[in-house]
Amino acid sequence: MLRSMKQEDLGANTARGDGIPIRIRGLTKRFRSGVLAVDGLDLTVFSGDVFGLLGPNGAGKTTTLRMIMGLVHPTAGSVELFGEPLQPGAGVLRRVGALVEGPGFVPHLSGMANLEQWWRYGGSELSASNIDEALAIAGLGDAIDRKYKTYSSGMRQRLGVAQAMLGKPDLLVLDEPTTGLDPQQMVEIRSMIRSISASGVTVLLSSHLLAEVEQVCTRAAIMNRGRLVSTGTVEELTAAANIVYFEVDDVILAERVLAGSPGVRAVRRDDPGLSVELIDVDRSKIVSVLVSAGVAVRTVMARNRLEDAFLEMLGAQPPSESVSQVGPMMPPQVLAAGGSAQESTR
Amino acid sequence: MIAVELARQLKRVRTYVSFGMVALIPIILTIAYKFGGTPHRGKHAIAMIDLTSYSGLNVPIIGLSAMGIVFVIVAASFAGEAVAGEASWGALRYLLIRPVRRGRILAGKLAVVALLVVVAILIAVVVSLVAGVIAFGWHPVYVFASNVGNGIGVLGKPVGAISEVAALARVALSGAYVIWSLAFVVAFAFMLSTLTDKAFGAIAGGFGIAVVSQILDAISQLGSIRYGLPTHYMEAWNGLFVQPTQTADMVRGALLQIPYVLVFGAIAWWWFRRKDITS
Repeated sequence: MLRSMKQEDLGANTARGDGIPIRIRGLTKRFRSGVLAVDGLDLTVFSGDVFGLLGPNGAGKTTTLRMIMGLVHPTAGSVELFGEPLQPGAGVLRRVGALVEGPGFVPHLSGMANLEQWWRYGGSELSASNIDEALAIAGLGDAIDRKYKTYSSGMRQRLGVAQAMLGKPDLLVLDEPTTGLDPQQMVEIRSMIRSISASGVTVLLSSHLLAEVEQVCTRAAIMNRGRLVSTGTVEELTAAANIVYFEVDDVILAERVLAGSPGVRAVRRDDPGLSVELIDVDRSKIVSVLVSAGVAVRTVMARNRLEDAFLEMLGAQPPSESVSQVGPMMPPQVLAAGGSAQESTR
Repeated sequence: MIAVELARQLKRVRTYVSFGMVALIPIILTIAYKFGGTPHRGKHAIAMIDLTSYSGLNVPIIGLSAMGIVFVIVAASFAGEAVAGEASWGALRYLLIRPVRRGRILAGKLAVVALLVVVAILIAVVVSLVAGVIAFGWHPVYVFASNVGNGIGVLGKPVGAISEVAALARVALSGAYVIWSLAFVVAFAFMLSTLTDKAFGAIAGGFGIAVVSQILDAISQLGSIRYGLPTHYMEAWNGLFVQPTQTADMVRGALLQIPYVLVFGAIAWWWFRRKDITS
């Protein structure tokens, strides 16, 4: 009985070997300092996903990615890559390419030497590295033979993506891939990610930029304070929702008026305005309710669920933080204004 | 993996600065002895420095003595940089996501550090030997009574001489001993290099342990504790150039390195395998 079960497990393992790229169960990390960075995370990334891990700075995204790569040891829980339990330096990492918290290269070596050495460090033959393809991604031209320390931050980032793409990985892990880039470079990196995904690579991407996840990802999870707040396909998450954001001259009065008004399920403060969840009522009706109560309405915006989940989770933070840190980082009106404006506020 | 590690180091200016330094110092010493004139210390007393005028083979002997502190700095800088330097470039995390176990990564880095230290001391010995023989010729080496002090002191009257080839063999053995006597510096700086992301701290620590050990060794009130200090037998190879030849302290010194290397090495290994890489 025992033996047959073991054989079954073995069979299941090999079958799963080419299955689920990332399966995370109950992943928890408490650092020596006592900081609980990741708290009971469950996450599955399927083959072909471009999975976005969205959350503000300090949400635990980077720690999660580091645990997926075996850089940080989980306090509890497990990570499986392609069905294999992950250990630091495990063989399965051969199938993974990563950009973790920016590129990291040897400054006195050329970009080319850096790529070659990094690849050979894993004991792999250079011929198996697909280095020409990776170089095409980097698009550095002759600069590839210059010392890394002479590179601009955009060149460094592209070299980092090229390194992650060496050997045609089955899974690409990108941590904040557009951080520190100018808008033009952001667009380039994003289209690069889309074309990498189109070639059959599963991508896990972390970002604190809502627009980036909306533009690039097929599925997304929202993380805050080490926990998963919401998860689903980006279509699901961005589907038109019945939550409307109002900016008014008198928030207190508006809140009181709307709280008792028909068709309103919930009213939430959402500095500087209000988020209102509606049931079977048009938002114009709510505007007229407000106006007739003597409240001047400045802005009315429909909001999708991804935005809402994101904002809800920001709203759940202590007031001091949400005002000083989170508030200015991503005010609602900027969220709705689309990619470039949003990024420029960073 | 070792080839990659080596390539990283051999493309660095710093590596060549270190090698250049250990090559230049013996040349400067030789020139100074050649043209600096011979100081007089009385009829029967000879200072070690004076010996150079009798045989070029004395230059590597004096060089190994005089450059002790330089070797410590070189060893500490190679070892202290090994892991922390990588971390400070942000490249460590990328090495650690290769399918290579951390223990092997550490072993590869340590092997390359050891190789660089060996090469540095070989350079010092070979350069001083060549420079010495060119300047002072290939002659037998005088040896002195074993009860006089070691190092570059006043030695009294020579009590014998050893042939050129025998002296050359003893110089080689001395070089090997000096290399091994740096093992605790390498092991300690390497251990610190896994503990911190700041290479300079690890280098300073490696240098510091040698200095502290030497200071403690100078406090005679510490008694027999001093015999356990890693620098206590650092100059024991001088026993090869006295009569009768003394090797007992060399054996003690060589054995004494082992516990230091094992303890520091084990801590490095234990720590690095468990370390959360946040650099």
